[in-house]
Amino acid sequence: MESQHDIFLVTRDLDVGYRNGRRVTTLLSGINVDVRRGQMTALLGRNGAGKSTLLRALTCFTRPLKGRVELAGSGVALHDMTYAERSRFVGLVTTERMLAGALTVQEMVEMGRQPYTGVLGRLGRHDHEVVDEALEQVGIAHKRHEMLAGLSDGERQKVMIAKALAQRTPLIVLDEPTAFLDVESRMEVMKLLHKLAHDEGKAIILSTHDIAQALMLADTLWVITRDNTLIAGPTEDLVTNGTMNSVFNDDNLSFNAAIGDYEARVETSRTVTLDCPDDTLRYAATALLLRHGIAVNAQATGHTGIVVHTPADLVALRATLTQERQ
Amino acid sequence: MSRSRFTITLVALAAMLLLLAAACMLFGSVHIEAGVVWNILTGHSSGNRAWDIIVLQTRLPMVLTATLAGAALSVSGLLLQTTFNNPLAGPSILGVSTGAGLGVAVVMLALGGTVGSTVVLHSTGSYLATLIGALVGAGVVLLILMLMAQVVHSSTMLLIVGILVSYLTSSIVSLLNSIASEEGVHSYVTWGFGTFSGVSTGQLPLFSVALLVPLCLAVFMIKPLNALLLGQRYAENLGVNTRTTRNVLLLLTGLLTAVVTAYCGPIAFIGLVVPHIARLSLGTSNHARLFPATLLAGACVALACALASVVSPYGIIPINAITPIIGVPIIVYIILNRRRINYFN
Repeated sequence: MESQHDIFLVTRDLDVGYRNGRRVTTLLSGINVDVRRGQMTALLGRNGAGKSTLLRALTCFTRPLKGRVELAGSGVALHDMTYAERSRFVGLVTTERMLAGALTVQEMVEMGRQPYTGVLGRLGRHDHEVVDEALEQVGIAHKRHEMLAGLSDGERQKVMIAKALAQRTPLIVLDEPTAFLDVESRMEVMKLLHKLAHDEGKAIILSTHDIAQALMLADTLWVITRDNTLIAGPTEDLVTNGTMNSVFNDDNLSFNAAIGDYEARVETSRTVTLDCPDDTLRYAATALLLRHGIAVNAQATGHTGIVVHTPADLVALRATLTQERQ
Repeated sequence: MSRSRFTITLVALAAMLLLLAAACMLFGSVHIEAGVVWNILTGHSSGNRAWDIIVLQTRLPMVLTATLAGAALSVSGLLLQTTFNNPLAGPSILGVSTGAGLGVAVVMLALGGTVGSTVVLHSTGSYLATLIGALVGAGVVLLILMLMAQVVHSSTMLLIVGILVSYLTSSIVSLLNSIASEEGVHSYVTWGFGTFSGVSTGQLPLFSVALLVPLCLAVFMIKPLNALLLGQRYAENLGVNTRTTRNVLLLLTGLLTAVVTAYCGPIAFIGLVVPHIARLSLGTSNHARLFPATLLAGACVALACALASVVSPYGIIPINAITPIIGVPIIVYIILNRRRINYFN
């Protein structure tokens, strides 16, 4: 039996960007990464860094400027396949607007079977089974007869994921699947994708701006840095080696490894030490102090010590700070 | 639930088609008893030669022509709407009919009125020339649209391009008219009114085959059409070669529109409106169901127009005077209810 962590896809000296007439704009060059089954990869980077462009090249919607995307093992380039052949290897989920509101959930998921049906698109018994299973997997089976137009954004996104599942491809590529979603749906979608990678052995690549979620659930990160290089590696490694701090240009933005997200660097006028036993209170007190231009440093000695042991202390601290400001 | 809605709609449309066809056989400028019409149709001469001719050589070809032309224009509209991802596309609005019209005009005016509508379209040669003229004209417009679609991505802009192309072709036709002979202009103007009575019994076989072949081929486009609903990126991911598919779809559309336009004149609104009637009555965008409903509804609408054009006591009314009366209210309804109609969301 093949291992769950088999390499499925590799890129070889891939350059991506776009052609506008004769002008060629290269966004990322010399990309050599591999995509493994059973792993979720999160692609992070600022807007315009080339996340979408890279995913378009990986799914062969556009030709890469240079280099190849090939199936590991056989070495066949995705670009040399026909559309029909490729549709059995890579599934796609985007957030593009479409005129498909008058299709039912089930009809949309059935689209995922198109690579396997004949010219008239008739579904066989196996196709129906696969569709049912996909509907169950994303938890939308109870709405199978509802129109897409009546669904929430989160539900629609689940339907599109079910469509990709019905396509039975080893790799699913998702271009910002959590954009436009509220926190609850975002979590649900990310957890679902993580589960699909770990339990179903799918290779999942998704681009996202939701850093905290990505760091929590992605096995691998592809980070596009401010100088347009793609750094790939296990999530823990990139978090600890400072890669995350090389994403944005703005010096006022710093990556806080403790909370797994970026925070604004605020100018502070003085530093204090904070005596606080509880994580929640500590977080709230630190933010409160920072808003008032006071940095907290645990190791520093010789600074004013602030004690917050109860929520009431926090209220008192806020009152003091407000008074000071006036 | 939706399956039974589909069955009911289809049965209702088929019943309506039969009813309208029967009405078109019965009503007209000359009153003929229903029993007599039936006898003539089943091969028993009524003894009145004029009646035989009216039933077999006027009414019957008109019914068949309207049925086929209506179905063809409507399917053509459906294909265009999905191809351009624009629910307000249609063969006449995008200028495909006008393009075909220009082709017809060139042929008609060049031949100086020896070919044209009902009366003058007799020789097979001139008749084929008109058909080829229409095909070339429609083809050129579709080519322009395809090229523009590569550059212009907004579907509204593409519609405007289509309208501009229409204006341009109309102006060329006007220029041609100013240098053409009076008879040529007359037959062209008459042709422009639109009629389902222009196809004689002898011409029916060619007309039918020319429409039935692309209609049958369109059945094989149902699967990629559904994929195209999701947009180009998803469609390609589902294994559809969108470029080839678009080209095939435009070719079929061009054929259907050109053949109908050559024989019946530039008939407006049917191609635009009927796919909406089908979508609204079925409540789906799934082409597997839309296609048969569009086919039947198109035939019904065309027959209704044909009936309206012949029952007037003041003589025959041009088809193009009737289609807007059916079409405009539906389009206005759709525009006003955009947000509530599922297939726009």
